[in-house]
Parts: sequence; structure tokens; C-alpha cells
Amino acid sequence: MLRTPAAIAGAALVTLMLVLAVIGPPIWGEAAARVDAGAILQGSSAAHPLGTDNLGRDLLARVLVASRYSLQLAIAAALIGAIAGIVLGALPSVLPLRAGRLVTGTVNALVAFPGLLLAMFTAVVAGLGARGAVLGIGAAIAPGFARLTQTLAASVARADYVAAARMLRVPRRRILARHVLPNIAEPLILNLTQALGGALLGLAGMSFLGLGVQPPDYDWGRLLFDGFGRIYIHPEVALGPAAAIALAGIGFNLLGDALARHAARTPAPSRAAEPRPRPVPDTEPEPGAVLDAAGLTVTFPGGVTPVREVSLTVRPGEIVGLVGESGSGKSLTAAAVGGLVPYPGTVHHERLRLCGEDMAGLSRERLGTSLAMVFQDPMASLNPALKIGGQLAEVAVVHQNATRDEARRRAVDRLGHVGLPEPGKQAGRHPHQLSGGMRQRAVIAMGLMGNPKLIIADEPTTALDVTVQRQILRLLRDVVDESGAGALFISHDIAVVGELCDRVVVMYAGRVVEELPVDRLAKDAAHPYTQALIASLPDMDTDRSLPLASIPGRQPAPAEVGFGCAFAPRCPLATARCTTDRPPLEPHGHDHRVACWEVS
Amino acid sequence: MRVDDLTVRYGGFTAVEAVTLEVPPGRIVGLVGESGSGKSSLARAVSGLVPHTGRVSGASRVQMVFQDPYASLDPRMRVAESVGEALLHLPRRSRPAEVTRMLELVSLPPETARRYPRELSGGQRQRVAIARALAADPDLLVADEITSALDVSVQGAILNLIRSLRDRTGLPILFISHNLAVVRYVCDEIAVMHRGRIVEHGPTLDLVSSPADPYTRTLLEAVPRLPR
Amino acid sequence: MRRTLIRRLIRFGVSLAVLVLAAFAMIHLIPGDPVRASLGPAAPVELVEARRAALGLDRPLPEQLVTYVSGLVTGDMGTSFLTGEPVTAVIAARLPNTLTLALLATAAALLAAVPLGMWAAVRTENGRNRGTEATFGGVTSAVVAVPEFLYAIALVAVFAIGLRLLPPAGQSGPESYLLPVLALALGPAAMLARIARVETLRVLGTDYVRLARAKRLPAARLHLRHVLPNTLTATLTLGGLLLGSLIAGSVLVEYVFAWPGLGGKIVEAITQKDYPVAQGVILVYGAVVLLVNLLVDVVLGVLDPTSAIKES
Repeated sequence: MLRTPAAIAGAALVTLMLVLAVIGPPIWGEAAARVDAGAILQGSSAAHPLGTDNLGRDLLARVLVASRYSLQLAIAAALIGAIAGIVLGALPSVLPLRAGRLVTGTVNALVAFPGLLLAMFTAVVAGLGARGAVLGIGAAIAPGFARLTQTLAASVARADYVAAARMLRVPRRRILARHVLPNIAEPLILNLTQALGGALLGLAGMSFLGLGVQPPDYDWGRLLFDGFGRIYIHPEVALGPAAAIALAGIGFNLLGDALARHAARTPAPSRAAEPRPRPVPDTEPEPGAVLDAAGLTVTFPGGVTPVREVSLTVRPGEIVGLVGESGSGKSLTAAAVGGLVPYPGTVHHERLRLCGEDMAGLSRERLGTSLAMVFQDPMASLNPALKIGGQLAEVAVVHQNATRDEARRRAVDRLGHVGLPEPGKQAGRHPHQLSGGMRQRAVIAMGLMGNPKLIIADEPTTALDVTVQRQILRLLRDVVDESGAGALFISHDIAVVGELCDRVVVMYAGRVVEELPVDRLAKDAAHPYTQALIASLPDMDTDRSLPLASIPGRQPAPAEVGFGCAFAPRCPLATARCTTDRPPLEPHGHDHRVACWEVS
Repeated sequence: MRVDDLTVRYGGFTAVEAVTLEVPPGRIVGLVGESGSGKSSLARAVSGLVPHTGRVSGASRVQMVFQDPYASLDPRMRVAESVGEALLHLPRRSRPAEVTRMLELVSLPPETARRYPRELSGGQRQRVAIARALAADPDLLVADEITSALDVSVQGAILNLIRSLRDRTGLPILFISHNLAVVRYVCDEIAVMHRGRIVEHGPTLDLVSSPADPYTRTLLEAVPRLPR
Repeated sequence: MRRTLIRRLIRFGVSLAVLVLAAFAMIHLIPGDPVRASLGPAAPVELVEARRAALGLDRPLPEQLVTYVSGLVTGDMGTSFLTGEPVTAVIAARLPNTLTLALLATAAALLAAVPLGMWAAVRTENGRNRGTEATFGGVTSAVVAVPEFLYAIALVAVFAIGLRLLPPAGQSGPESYLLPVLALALGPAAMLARIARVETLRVLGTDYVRLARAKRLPAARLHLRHVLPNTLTATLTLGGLLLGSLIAGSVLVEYVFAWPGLGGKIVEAITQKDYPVAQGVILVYGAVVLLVNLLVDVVLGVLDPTSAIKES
């Protein structure tokens, strides 16, 4: 948890403050109270590093001693605020509907007002002094807590596991105690740390304005109030309390941040250097292919290699399906081909060519116009702030030196081409005004703005209904047939791949395990994984009297892949050799390659 | 279980309109439709999770299994506690044995009881969710897209489990899915939903081989097939 | 759009009504007799009674409420216990100074924070440059944690007293705005920068930015056209809320700089138990905050059509 310097600093500052609060008064209490008529209102000196006050009392000692009272008041205010807030926030789920709404409405109204305003209001009513200030700061903290409790409780109450408990007729009290409270406690406790810091600063502010602690008591804010009046003559007398307040505030905030980050559990990846993958035996480059990739490997720090030595070719006019289950590395393979692997992933390859040219050497313009990409969620792949037409026209303006008018005309033309009705009108619309299927068409049209040579479609129909899926699949086929481009179609659904693609490449645990023409997939699939995948997928001809096939176990995560065949632990044909030696991807008849010792 | 004239409204929007549907004992009735067809709203209404008008009769102890097994188990509860919540009426001492029996029913080893959801795979979690539903001794099980979040290789095992539950216990099941191939494989009858209404309902093989409604035909044609 | 606007106006009206009620109730919630508390124990009974009668405190509560509300409508918020001035006049003279300060500080905070947050996000995307990320996080967190009155005091000590570059207090020329605006804007700027970074990171992770990257757009175009507009809704929403909180939050800064705004007045009113002034100032602060929040919602609704759709 204490991994960053900021977290360490925060913890150190808070610890220091707690220690001072405990040992401060017994050690320096006497010095802080000692009146010295001979040393009234002095500035900094050897005897009094921070000067003295109007009774000649040592200000350094007073700052150290005041830590206890400042902290006590802050704790009181934070607790008052937290308890009041949690009660207010929890009430709506206990009260009858109407009363609950009233409470929610009140909380929402209160949250809108700045805390200081609520604090001053309370201070007016409760009167000047520490009690009024503590109540006031408590009142300022409460609405935020109430709102947090409400949103947290509401999100838990909507969770499926609460719905399940309700169906089990679990009593409401028990749902609150066993499901809701444990799941909201952590963020609430976290917020309390931050509220404590806020209370401390708020109280200091109130005392500094003269609205909080009154003499003869003193906290840091009160000391600052006294010192501020003398700032023109002795600025240092304000320095001590100001520094104490600032450090305490910083300490609580840094610690709160660190705790929040710890709760969110975002582990920092280790930065172990990666060995370069060893070179793979060279395969023949394929002339004429739009995509020719060999030995494609993606690694992440810490020895995680989700894509291993993948070789792919896509010929003009061909749609190659890349199929695999979640975690097989198929999407990262597509990202690597498109040059979009996110940091800190690194891509190595023997060969990565687009239409015979090394992709690394291609210009922005060439890549931007000859690669087209389509992603899974059409709701997310268009920029919500820009009109459809503008997003399409962009490529032509940026890469092809088209004028705005030309680009727009071409955009409208392409939109019409992918079957959007009234393309001129659609171009002037924002993405949210289109349905999912129409948006996916617009994304495909965007890819057609340049001269696409390779279309990379990553699960483009997974988020769509079957009837819309069918239309988009047809459109992709039409586009490929017409433009002569090749396409790489990534999907988890082998039936969809079977319907659309010419060739299928099956991935398992980061590697290609089989590659064959689609029309032979059902009959000739040789790899036990491919066979199991086909057998476990029910289709409209599946025999209903037999149980469905399923594969025991699970796919290994990228970090767990060992020496042998990654599928061996789940494979019915596996022998001792499979667990120690990895089978290479080797030809298995015409246009068919398999990586399996038992079939080749 | 029988649903008569059931309607679900959210504000001005009618999600389910005057639906009548029957799930006979020992049968799995499939409910297919696209997103927004109202199938999930119907499931939640039958389970008593959303307000509705109309009558649901013959099912007083409905249990539901949800789509996302990651969201339907309390992350802070061990499997034994989650499943045990259905057994609160039993004396505390006899609960563990019953939990074990339920886990066996869904083919999970007894030691699963000590695990937290995060330690289980998606398929295992879904089995736990089914075990929890069964522990409540339901008279109707509603399965809402229970394999959509799972990988294909795991899906088969869950579908087999659903069929074997019907065979072993005679539990009537309302099986909701957008995937017609899955529904065809699992269900004895299929009801097709479109825009809040049931447009066609019949025995699986009849409906698949000779659909009467044009929408059912569109849906059937759109199912992707492997070339054989 | 229109429906959301109407609903928003209703919410504003209800909040305003609650605020007026609270301001009215304030005087009555004070334990004991506010007039006696204000005039002190030595004041003669006749004076206290006369003051009570003048304030209408001897009449029944509902009647007082009606008088109070109708007074508000005609711009009458009573007179100061201390000076006898009409409260409305006191506020009218000082409110513009407070608003100017808050507006300038909000503008300064936004102008500094948005580029800074975007820069930090682009540099630290997907966990690259962990050093920058840690420094940015630590520094902004520390800057946020220091309250504005300490910045104010420190700025006065350094620039006004130490270097004698700028005036320490009061409102004179344009240079007198510099220190108060800076003191007020520092913390919010750091907080906004953090939010701008998180928002930018969110947008950088979306599919439409991936798609824009696949189109190989130049970095400037990618960031300014595809990223920036999509971060602004969230950032500006918070900026608007910030303006609201700065209007009231400027109390401490105004106090340090002896700024002729509402802040100094309310402190004086509370310490001197000048209840009509305290009541009026709190009411005005609250009303301005509500109004600013309403304006922000309306402006964003016009600018960002998707947010309006989402709410309806």
C-alpha cells in the first residue's frame, strides 16, 4: 500500500500528528501556558523560535500543544458529520416511499450548497465557539456522506445478488446487514479519512475567522487568527500554525488518496525486461497477399505473452476468420496487425507486410487510407461530439488533401454505399441519433473513405441482434467483393465465421492451432480443440437427443502457458509428449495447417 | 405456471403487452427475441422483481438465474453462505449438508462451498447461482440468458445441466435467450417475442421446421450456420 | 430538452423555497432572544422591546413569514442592527466584488487545469511514465489539501510584505486582484487538473479514439478534435459547481485581503451578532449558488445534446 513517495509522506505526516497529539500537552503544556511579562509580542529569537504572544507565551510550544485539541475537534466534527450523513443516507431505504423521497430531496438540495455556508449557518444558530464550529463543520460534512451512502446503497440494491436474495425471501433486515452494509462499508470508511482532513481544515478556517475556538482555549486556527494580526511586523508568528494546518491537511489527503488507490486495487505491473522471442523458422513470404504477417508476438512486462508467433496471410478479396474464446489473444493479434497495441505491450515480428510493403516503413497517409478498422460496440466507436459526416470526411481531408466540400461529398456517397437511407441527412446527424446497426454501417463507410486494402473487423456483430448481424455480414462481404480488399474478421462465434469467411484461423492460448478453408471446417477440422469447439456449439441441426459436448477445464492465462501444447491438459488425445514438446503448426493436406502431435 | 394478460410498463414505455403464456410441469419453455423485445422484463415480472399488471398463477416460489454470474453472487460471501441464504428456514446445523447436496446437484465438488466467487470460473459461478436457486425448492426456474456471458466450451455443460435438471426433478423452466440455436437445443416449446408481444408459441420442432409468423421466419433465417 | 429544462426549473424553485425558509428559520432557531443576545445583557428592557417590535418578532410566526417573504419580493431584507443601513444596500454594494473574484478564479482555474490535466493524461496513458504520474498525483493532491486562506497568507507574506511587489489588502487597481484570485484558484485548479486527467484517460480508452488512431490522424488533431470536446462536459460541469462553491468559499480569502465583498461582512455580522445582515448574506450566497448551478445545467444541455437525452 505504501508504495509511492506520496503515500509514505502522507502516512508519516498523519503519524507525526497523532504522536504530537498524544505527547504534546504533557511535554510542552507547561511552556505553552507560562506567562512572561518580559517577552510580550516578540518575534523569532533563539529562546522563542516562533516568537511569543501577547502574554509572552512561547508560540512554538503552543503550536505543538494545540495539535491535540485541533485533532479532537476534527474527529468530533467528522464523526458527527459521518453519522448524521449515513443515517440520512440510509433512511430512504427504511422509510415509506414518500418520506424517503423527501429525505432524498433534502439531501440533494443540501449537497448543492457549499460546506462553509452550512457551517456558518449552523454557527449562527449554535453560537460562537468550539461547539458551534464543530456542529457547523459536522453539518457541512453530512450531506456529502448522505449522498455517498445513498448512491452506494442504491447501486448495491440494484445488484443481481440482492435481487437473488429478495427472491429467496431473505428478510429485508438481513439483506441490509449481510449484503448492503458490507459492500458499502469500505468506501464509507475511506471517505471518513478524507472527511477527517476536511474537518480539520474547516475548523481551522472557522477559528481563523474568529468564529471557532475562543480564548482561553486555542487550536491552530485560533493561533493563526492571533498571529495574522501581527503579520506585518512578525510574519513568522503566523508561520507555525499555518505550517501545522497545511501539513496536517496534506497528510490526510495523501493518505486518503493512497487508501483509495489501494481499495481500487490497481496493481502496478512489474517492469521486468523482456527477452526477445527467439526467431522462428522462416516461412515463405506470400506475394500478392494484402496482409502477410509471420512470427507476430505481443508481450507485456512481467513475462506475459498473450500472442505467440502468429502467422497470418490475407489475400485480396478474401475474408479470414480469426476465431477463439476470450483470452485466446485474437483481439490483440488484430490490434498488433493494426499497430494499435496499447502501452506497455510490445510487438515483435518476423514479417509484417501490407500489400508486399513493410508496414513499419509505410507513411501515415498510406496506413490511414489503406487500413480500415471496425470494432465491437458501434455505440462506442463513433465520437459522440462530432457529426457523422465530419468524422468520415476527416480521412480525406487529412490524408488525401481533399477540400471540405469534396470530402463531404465523398462521405455522403460512401454512406449511401453502405446502405444508409438518406445519406445526406444522416451525415448531418450525431451518432446518438442512429441505431446500432446504422452506426456500424457508418463505421464501415468510414473505412471506405480511403482505398482500403485490409479491413480489420474485431467482433463487429457481437453487440448486434441476429437480424442486424445478418445485414452487416452481408455488407462486409459486398464491400470485400467490390473493393478487392482483404478482411480479417475476429469472432468468438465459429458459426458466424462459418457463414461469412473463406478461411478460418483458430487460436488457443495465444497461438494458432489450426487453419483451414471454411467449407471444410465441419468435416475436416483436425485439431481436437477445433473439433470440440464445433461440437459444443449447438446449431439448427444439432441432435437434441444427445448431450452437448463441452471441454473440461479452462484455457490457461497468458502467464500460465508452459512448454508443451497449451491444450494438452484438456485434450482427450494428449500423451506425455504433448505436455513437454510444443507441436509446430504444420501442413495437413491442401491449404490446411494443424498444430497437434496426434493428428499430423 | 401460467401467465395471463401480463403487462409491464416503465413510465410511458410498454415493455411487455398483454402476454399470456403457460409453462407446463416438467417442460422447458424457451423465450426468444431480440434486444428490446421484452423477454427480460417478462422474466423479471414473473419473478416478482418488477411491478406489472395481469395474473401469474401456479408459481409461488419462482427462482431466477441471471445472465452475469459475476454480478449475481455477493463478492463478500462464500459459496456456502450464498447458497445457504435459501436455507434460512432450516436449523443452522443441517444447512451445510443441504448446501453440499445442492452443489452435487449442479456437479460441483463439496469443497466449492468454502470458496469466494472471485476464486471460481464463470461456468462454476453460474453453477453456484443455479444451486442457490434450487436450494429454495422452486416451483419454477427462470433462466435469463444464463450462457450469454460464458465461453462456448463452457456453455455446453451448463445447457446439459439445465436439461438434466428437468429430467431428474421435473422442474418447469422458463429459458430466456436471444440465441435460437441454444433455445432449440434446450427447450421443449418455444415462444417468440417481438415488441412486447408473443408472436408465436409452439413445440420446438414444429416451430423451427414450419414457422407461422413472418418474424419467426426472419429470425430463423438470420441464425448463422456452419456450412456442412 | 424542454421537459428536462422545466423539471430543472421546478427543482430550482423548490430549493430556493427551502433556502428562504431556512433563512427565515435561522433567527428563530437561535436559542434565547436574538435581540437580547445582540444588544447584550446591559441593554435596557425598553430598548430590547422596541427593537423586537421593530423586527416584528412579537407577532405570530406565520404572519412574520408572510412579512419576510413579501419583504424579499420588494427587495427589503431588514436593517442592520449595527449601522441601521438597509441590508439590501449592504449586499448590493458588496456582491459584485465577490462575484468578480469568484468568476476570475474559476476562469483561471479552468484555463490552467484543462491543458495541464490533458498533458498529464497523454503522458501517463496506460501507465507509461510512472514517474510523471506519481509526481502529478502527489503534487496536485498536496496542492488540493492546503486551504485557500493559507495560500492567501503565504502570498501576502511573500509578495506584499517580503518583496513589496503587490498590495497586501484592499481593492485598488487591477494588480490588487492578482493575489486574491491566485489564492482562491490554486486548490481548485489542482483538483480540476486531476479530474481533467481522469476524463482524458477515459476518452483515450474509448473505441472512437482507437478508431481515430487507426485512421492515423496527427496527434494534434486527435487530441484537440476527438479527445478534448468529449472531456469538456464533465470538466465544465465541475467547473460550474466550483464557481458556486468559490462564491461562498471566498469568505476566508476576502477576510485575509480585507476585500470589500460579502465575505468580510458575514464574518463581522456573525461575530457582532448582527442577525439581519447574517441572514441576508447567507440567503444571497445560497441563492447565487443555486442560480449558478441552474445556469450550468442549462448551458450544458444546450452544448451537449447527449447529456439531455440521457436525462430524459
